[in-house]
Amino acid sequence: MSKSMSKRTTNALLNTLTWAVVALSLLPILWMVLSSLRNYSDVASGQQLDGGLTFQWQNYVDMWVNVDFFSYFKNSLVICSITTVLATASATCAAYALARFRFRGSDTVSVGISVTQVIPGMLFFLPLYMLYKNIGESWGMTMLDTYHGLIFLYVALFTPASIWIMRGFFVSIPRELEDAAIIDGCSRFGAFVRIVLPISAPGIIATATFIFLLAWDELFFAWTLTSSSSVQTIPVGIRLFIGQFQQRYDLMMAAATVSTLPVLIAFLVCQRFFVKGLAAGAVKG
Amino acid sequence: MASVSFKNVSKHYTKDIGVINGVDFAIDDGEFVVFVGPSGCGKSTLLRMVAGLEDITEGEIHIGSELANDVPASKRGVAMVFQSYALYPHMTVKENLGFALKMAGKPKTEITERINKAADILQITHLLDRKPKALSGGQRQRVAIGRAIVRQPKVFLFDEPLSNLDASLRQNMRVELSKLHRDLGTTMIYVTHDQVEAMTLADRIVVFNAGLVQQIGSPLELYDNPANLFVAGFLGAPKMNLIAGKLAHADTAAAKVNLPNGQQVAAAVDASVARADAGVTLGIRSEHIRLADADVPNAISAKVALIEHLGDQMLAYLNIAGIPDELCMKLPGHTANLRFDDTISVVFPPENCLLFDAAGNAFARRK
Amino acid sequence: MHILPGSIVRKKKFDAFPYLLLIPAVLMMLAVNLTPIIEGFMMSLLKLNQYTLSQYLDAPFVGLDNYRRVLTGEHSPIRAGMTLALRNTVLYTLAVSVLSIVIGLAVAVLLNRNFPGKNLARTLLLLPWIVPSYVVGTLWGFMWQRDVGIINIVLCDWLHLFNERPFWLLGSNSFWAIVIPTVWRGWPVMMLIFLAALQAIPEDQYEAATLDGVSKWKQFLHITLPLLKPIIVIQFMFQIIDNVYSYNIVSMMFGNGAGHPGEWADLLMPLLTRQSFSYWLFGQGAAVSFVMMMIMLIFVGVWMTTFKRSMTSDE
Repeated sequence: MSKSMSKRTTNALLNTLTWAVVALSLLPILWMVLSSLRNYSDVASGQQLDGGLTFQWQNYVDMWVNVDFFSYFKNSLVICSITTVLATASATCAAYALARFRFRGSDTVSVGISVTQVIPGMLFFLPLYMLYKNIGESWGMTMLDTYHGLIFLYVALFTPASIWIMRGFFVSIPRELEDAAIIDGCSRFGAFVRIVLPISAPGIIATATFIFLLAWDELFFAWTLTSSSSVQTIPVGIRLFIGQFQQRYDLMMAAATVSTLPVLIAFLVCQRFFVKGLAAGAVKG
Repeated sequence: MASVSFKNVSKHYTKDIGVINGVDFAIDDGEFVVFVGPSGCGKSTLLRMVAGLEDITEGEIHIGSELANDVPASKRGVAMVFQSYALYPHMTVKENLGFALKMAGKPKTEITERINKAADILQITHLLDRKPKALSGGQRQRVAIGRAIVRQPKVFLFDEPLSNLDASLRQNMRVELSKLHRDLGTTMIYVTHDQVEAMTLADRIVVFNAGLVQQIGSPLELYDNPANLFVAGFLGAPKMNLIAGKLAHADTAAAKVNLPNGQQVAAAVDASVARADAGVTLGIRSEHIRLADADVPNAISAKVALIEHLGDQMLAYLNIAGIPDELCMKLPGHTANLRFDDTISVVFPPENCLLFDAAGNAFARRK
Repeated sequence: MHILPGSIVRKKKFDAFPYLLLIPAVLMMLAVNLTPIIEGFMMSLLKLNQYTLSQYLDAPFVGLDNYRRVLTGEHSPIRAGMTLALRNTVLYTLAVSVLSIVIGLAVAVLLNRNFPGKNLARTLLLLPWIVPSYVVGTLWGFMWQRDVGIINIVLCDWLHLFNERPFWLLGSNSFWAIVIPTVWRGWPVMMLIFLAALQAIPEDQYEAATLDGVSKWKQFLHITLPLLKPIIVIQFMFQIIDNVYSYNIVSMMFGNGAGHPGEWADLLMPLLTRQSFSYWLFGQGAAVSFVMMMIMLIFVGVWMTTFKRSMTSDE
């Protein structure tokens, strides 16, 4: 009797603890949203909690109006989406090659991928800037301050890490499925596309979400390689904004909230795959 | 329907590591041939070479009258059933069955017709719209076989298809596979490490070890007249009793062997080519060891170490002084009044004894 | 088809397929990673200031002078802040990595049971990671505000832990002002990974131990931790790599709003970026970056070889 009771108490305690941790963890986010919905003077004096349930949606309107936020938002959305598609595609192909085939140079590529993760952005910022400048001048194709300039960079930056994740997925698919497909008449590429890819859909979605998150988060190159608001992304926008509106915490929080929404939605939609995928890929190391 | 022949086939990964080392034999049209051997002996690799999933380093494989070496897998007219069934998890059973035909561009009506026929033979028509994960192990296996049947191949290839099933299911499927072969009449090559499957299913068995063929023949041939120690020990359960000894005397009709315990036993083999005192191995199957009275000539005294009752037979494990290993004796029923620690006498009838030379090769038995 | 009698030795056909699959990724990596590394190294050997920048790689060659200046502090504003930045970066990286792993592991253990709403809890716990790092910087910059930030409101007005409201963005507190948000954002992923690993441990190991009378805590120490060791080792390395170049949070928390990060919150990358751009010292910036990269490569190499045996874990 007492054993099951103490077990129930333990469970109850653990549950409480768990949800306490969840609540604590979410507090900053809640604070962010709350502050974005209060008026300026309340926020500036730290009295947002006293407002009860009056929400000031006007802040959001102000934010879009005062700063060219719509432009930043659109830019981020376009750049990150295209990056996601391209990077997922190239990472998937490369990961398949590394997972299934043993060939000369496969080890070099693997090591190369690891090395790219260790390079500080600062190191190759200037060469990249110069490269883009040269391409613009010699070949007439502007790379600086353009969508495609950033997209190309992002795809190149985020593909290597994604290769690791996808590779973990592919390794866990039994080879016999591709063998069967080949006997059934598929070419190797056909087996890849018709059999392996559909089965790896969860992994692909997880990888794509991951890339989208990384791209959305990128600040340094967006800042240094762009100069006009027709190309600049949200992080740049916020940074400019902070310089301009230092004390307007309410607007800042509104901008912060809006910046978080797209990735939040992307995550919530894909989280089933994401959780399974990232964990599985990582456990396999 | 086609024959399959192997001419001097080898496979190396590097110069030193050879997986298959010169295999040369032929399978007749319509035969059910089983490749059997321990793990890593190369039998699966050879099967995959027939399928076109592995390259052939040396030699030729012919399917029917055509040289198959450079023909891509899907065009060889073979169908394969994998150990793990390899069903496409994202497709229904119907789509799984029809996939190869779709790839080959066959018209829809033909595809549906073949699918239904195969489903009928294997009694899986009610499963056609399910996905593999909703099927039991046995059902998945049937779908895997169905996928092969649908293609109407010249040769069926089976890669240890029953290993993932539990014992009772395995026996049922074994019987069904035999019947399938009888009904379809197609050439079938079946790989397994289970000697019971080999004995029961095969028209002929090919025993492999370390990439080399040890012996080819019908199951009973291999059981009664194994060519070497490996084949002798591999087929038959319990394993054949093997005793190391020395050749005392041999002529074309019989050979006398000195056992380590000092006694002498006669074997009805022609060991005349061997020298006297050569090291030999005597082999006798557990069902051939006979109980005898103690005063019979050549009787060997033994102590019962353990008795196992299987209901229809019993196994007695015997310790013989001077002979290092325990021998196993199989007796029918459970009547013999044997108990642990009894001292009994046994004889090894000469016509049931096999003899192997120092290299492990069998001496010819006297007919 | 021409059939040769006897044995035919076949030459291994050149298989282009894997290479074709790799081409897009490899080309990009070469263009964006390799070339700049080489050029970056070359840059570190040149005198690149506002006058010579337009010459780029044709700027005057100064050999290891940049390295020397950075190390000894001669005419180098970069050097000026660098001791502090290095110290901060090392402490910050270690603190964040250790805390993220410990907290991640603890919560993973907490979550490794069945309770109603488990999946919801797990999803909610992951949210901090989703929040973009620059938002984290901005948000926590606001939260740490002495007078209007929620943290002081809770600590001082509600819990009465302090008599006087502390400054979080100045002085030595600013170190924790950057560590805590980073950990807040970082431990959920650790938790996720550890949770998956914990669930992969077969129950019977624990059952056998319980039958033997081993306490739950000891089970954790002697069964769970050793099995998790390979993963912890790898994740620790990833954490270090992720955090050593940390830039966004510091930049948004201090860079454009509250000013200079100060002694305790200035990290290596923010410092380099600031000084290189302010003083047009790209050669020196490149030198430091290159050295950092070498250090990290050595670290990864040493780490992997030291733990290679434990990572190919024996079941």
